Amino acid sequence: MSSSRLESFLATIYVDADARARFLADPRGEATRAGLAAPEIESVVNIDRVGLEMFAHSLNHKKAQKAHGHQTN
Amino acid sequence: MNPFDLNGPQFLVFYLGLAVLVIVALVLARRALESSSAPKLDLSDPYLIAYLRGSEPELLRVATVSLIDRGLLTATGTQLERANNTAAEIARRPIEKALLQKFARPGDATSIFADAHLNAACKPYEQALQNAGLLPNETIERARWSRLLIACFVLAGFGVVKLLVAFARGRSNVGFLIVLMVVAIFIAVKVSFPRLTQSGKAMIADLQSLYSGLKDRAYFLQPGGATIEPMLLAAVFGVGALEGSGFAFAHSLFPRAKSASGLGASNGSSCGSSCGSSCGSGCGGGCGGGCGGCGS
Amino acid sequence: MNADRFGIGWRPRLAAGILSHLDRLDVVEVIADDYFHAARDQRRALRTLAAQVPITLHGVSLGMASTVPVEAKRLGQMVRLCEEVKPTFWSEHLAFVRGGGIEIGHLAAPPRTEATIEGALANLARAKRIVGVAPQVENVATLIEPPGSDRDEAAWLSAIIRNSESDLLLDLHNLHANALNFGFDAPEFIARIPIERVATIHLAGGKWIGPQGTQRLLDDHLHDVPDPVYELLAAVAARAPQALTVILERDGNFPSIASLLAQVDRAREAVARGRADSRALLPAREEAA
Repeated sequence: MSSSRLESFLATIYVDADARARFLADPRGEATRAGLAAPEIESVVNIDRVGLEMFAHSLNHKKAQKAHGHQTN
Repeated sequence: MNPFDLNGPQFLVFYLGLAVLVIVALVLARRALESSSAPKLDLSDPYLIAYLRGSEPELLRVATVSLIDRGLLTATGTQLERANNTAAEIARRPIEKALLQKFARPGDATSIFADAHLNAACKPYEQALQNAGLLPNETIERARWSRLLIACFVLAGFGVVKLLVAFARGRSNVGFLIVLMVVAIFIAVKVSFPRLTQSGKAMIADLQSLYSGLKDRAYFLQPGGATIEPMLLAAVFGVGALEGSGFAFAHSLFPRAKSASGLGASNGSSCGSSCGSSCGSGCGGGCGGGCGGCGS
Repeated sequence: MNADRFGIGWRPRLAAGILSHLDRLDVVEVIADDYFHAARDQRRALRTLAAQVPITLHGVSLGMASTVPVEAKRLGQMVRLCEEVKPTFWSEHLAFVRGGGIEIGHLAAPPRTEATIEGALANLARAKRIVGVAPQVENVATLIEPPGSDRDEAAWLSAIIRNSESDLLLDLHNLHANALNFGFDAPEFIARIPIERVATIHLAGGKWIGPQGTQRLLDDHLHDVPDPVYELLAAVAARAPQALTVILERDGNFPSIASLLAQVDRAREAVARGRADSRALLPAREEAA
């Protein structure tokens, strides 16, 4: 079970704060609307929420660092 | 069509075109024949890099600044003197020992440029760079002379033949042609003997590219000789690249020191700045960012 | 056996330190993506660097472990760079980095499934075909347990390595972080993977993030290599019969070059210790056999 659709869905909720918020509010609904297969829906309903928030936060941080050309010295 | 049958103005145009062709051919031939893949160099020696970039004067400037920075030479205005009798034992390289020997008694800083002993101490650097193909060696110099002689033969040959033809036909208004011949030969000579080989020129540009991150941090480099970085900066970009009050002595001693290669503007941006766009589309690496985590 | 090699990741900030201490380094790893769109003179400078010290090219944006094929255009960039600088080898990550037209901006651990194994194998074969040589592939650190997974990381990674021509670039801090974050045993992981296929090791450091009680170790490459990672290195060296290339990664918060070289030296000691332990156990192993 895994498809390019699941990878797309994950990329979206990793990067897009609004999409992530909608997902966390209604994971089954959002996964269904994204067209995931049934086993994929079950897997994301039980997603590691702590890790998801941490990863998303760290992606934002990295994006901000790059935007400012920041390199810690 | 015999070019020698052209009238005066027409022949001048022809000769100008010929001169441009010959000079361009000289330059292209030299670049092609003096290019080779980059050699392995001892990049831990800033003096080698300084010599490559600016020959003896640059090496001597960087070495002098290094010795002052490390407290082995003292500077009072432009007067230099060895700090103490043990300084020569601390000095690492023969050129440093030679400088310390010279300034066992106080002397003006600019006297380093006309000192025979220091000149001799620089020779190993010249030899090393010649061996690496970055400075012309005897073989390269002979080849340069050969190409120049051929070029001069062509330029002088066409010019002299035309002069003889003109005189034979009773013409005496040959001043412009003589001037053009002299200028063309002068330019041919000037382009034939650059100090560096094409590989040497490329090496300096490449080092300035590789060390561009160091130049970006110039203001933060600390005096005192704890690391080699300030002297590498001076070697690659010139003593003028040293920043901060701790290195003000360097600018006072050598106010007209080059701050970049004599080749022109330094090569410039590190990949860290130029690759910004690629890193934006890439995955989080590059731009000095590697492939690590997001560092929140 | 060829000698083990030790090196460091090339970063512009470290250039002066690296170039003036090449006598203490056997190899330098360059981030390939930094040069895909670089000007000609910058690529020439990279060739000059390659003339001073062996270099490897480490890609970060291909996204090898995806069910989506890696674009030929992206592989073409790696081809051109490899042809120019002739690295000792090239490497990439077992990660996905984009999906549905969205760039994640970092390496994401894919669901560990048969589909991503097949996708990775197809991408690795494609990469080898286009670039001409198979890449080494690196395990990634993850802050999130990859959803949709039906097997653990050791099983997933082993399946890819055993069925491809790619050797493993084993990032020991990534392993250390994942083990701590998701509750598995790093030494046991090492015992389960095809150790003879480990060609290169990455060492790095990180920091703990998040609220008390739910903290996780972030592999940020901004800190020194912690002690447990050196122990893992010794463990790998004790088990691996082949030569290893060990690379220290540091992306920022840079200490002195002396400090970084000391960490490289400590890696040398760890590998030597592991090799010695392995030799010490050899008679016992032969007797048991």
